[in-house]
Amino acid sequence: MKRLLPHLLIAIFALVMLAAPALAVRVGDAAPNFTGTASNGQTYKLSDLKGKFVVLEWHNNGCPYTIKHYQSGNMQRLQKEWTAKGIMWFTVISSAPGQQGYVTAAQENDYMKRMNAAPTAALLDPNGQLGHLYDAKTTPQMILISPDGKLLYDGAIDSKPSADMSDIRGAKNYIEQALTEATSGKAVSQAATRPYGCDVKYR
Amino acid sequence: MNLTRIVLAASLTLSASAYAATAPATAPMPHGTVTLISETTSLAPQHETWLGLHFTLEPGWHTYWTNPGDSGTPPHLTWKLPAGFEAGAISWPLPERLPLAGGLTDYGYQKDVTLLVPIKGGTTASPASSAEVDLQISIVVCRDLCIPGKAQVALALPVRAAPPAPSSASAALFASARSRLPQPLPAGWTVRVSDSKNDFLLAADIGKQTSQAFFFPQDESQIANSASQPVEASPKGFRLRLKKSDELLKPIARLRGVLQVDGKGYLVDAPVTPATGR
Repeated sequence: MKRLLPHLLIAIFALVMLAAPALAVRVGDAAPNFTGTASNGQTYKLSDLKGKFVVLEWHNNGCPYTIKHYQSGNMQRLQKEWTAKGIMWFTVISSAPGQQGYVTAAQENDYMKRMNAAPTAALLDPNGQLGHLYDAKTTPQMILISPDGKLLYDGAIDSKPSADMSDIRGAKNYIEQALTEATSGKAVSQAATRPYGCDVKYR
Repeated sequence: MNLTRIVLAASLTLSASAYAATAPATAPMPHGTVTLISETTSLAPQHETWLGLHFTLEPGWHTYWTNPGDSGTPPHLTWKLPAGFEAGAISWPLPERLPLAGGLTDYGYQKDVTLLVPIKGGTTASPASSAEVDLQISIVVCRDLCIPGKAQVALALPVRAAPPAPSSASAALFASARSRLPQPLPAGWTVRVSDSKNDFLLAADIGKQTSQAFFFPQDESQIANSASQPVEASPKGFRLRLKKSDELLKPIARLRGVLQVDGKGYLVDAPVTPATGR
């Protein structure tokens, strides 16, 4: 019995560790690898993108906070500016089928055309796997990953939590700040902020 | 008709309409209404008057506390006050925990809530037969979806030298609103908060046993809003384990918020000490 006990304890420990929920990813951690299918039909794997900065932008086209940044052109401006500098920018849609924001590939392509959106691609995540992997809570929520695969920024798009377009001008744009700092070799000064928006419609 | 009488009638009509504010006191907002009420019938220089924003919401819809939790945003107020008057900070009634379908947790209000705001008259405030208190509210009201809205409400109140008299019309609403405000910790209660790596431990000594306790954090990104708060009863109180937020990157000096014990809210503002022993 005495000899069995350590093995038993190890087994119990292993079971507990397997059953325990994965720790949420935090700034400074390695960005979890993912494979995403985009509305343009292409597949993107994070591990294939080593050497590039990657932005993940959680999106729900019906959420007033998302609408704030799209109707104003704020998000499109950021997408254009930073993809032109070689950043990979992925809009991620984690709404489940039937929930607000859920789109088919064709619908998303149409939306991007209408809104002049310019991400590298829009990743369709209807089963919420990518969203849960990154613990995405709101739309919008912004994540920045370094070329060597570390999480550099996670949080709000800017400093004025509201659904008002008029708040964009006076706000500090956190993702822009993070990108500017990181691409010039500096540390990200405000690496984690509380993302504001509608809850991601996982269901 | 005598010209004097015509002029008098006209000026009375004008002054009567001068007492009406440029916006109504009640305005619609998404899935509800908001009404601006005053605790007193007048304003006065060097005195404080409490105003109330009384929200009513359709079933299932909610709006947010000062810390909205994982999603949403609290109402934003833009005041236009008579010269010399300033609005103070909102006094927030005890919120509810609002678990969302996707596993997130927000803090806010359903059905109805009255937010209280003090208006203080400084030395430059001068008497007037009618002065306007104007308020624009930006709000987001959510159920499964979120709807943004703006409401404009106003009140016309005289500014008099005499201390403001209470309004009988709004007395009941104000009494009800005040009863929902968190109170300071009762004398003899102590709350101690310690930092325990992944959690904060809140130890409360309240002179009796209870297992009904919950902590609403005032500041965002400190506590994990969706984590349960296990309550460990102790002979004279309880201990709450508050899981830290993933957004909390540095130690905090103080923990502020509202501690709900047996259904009542109490204001907490405690220093955070490193855990001793275990």
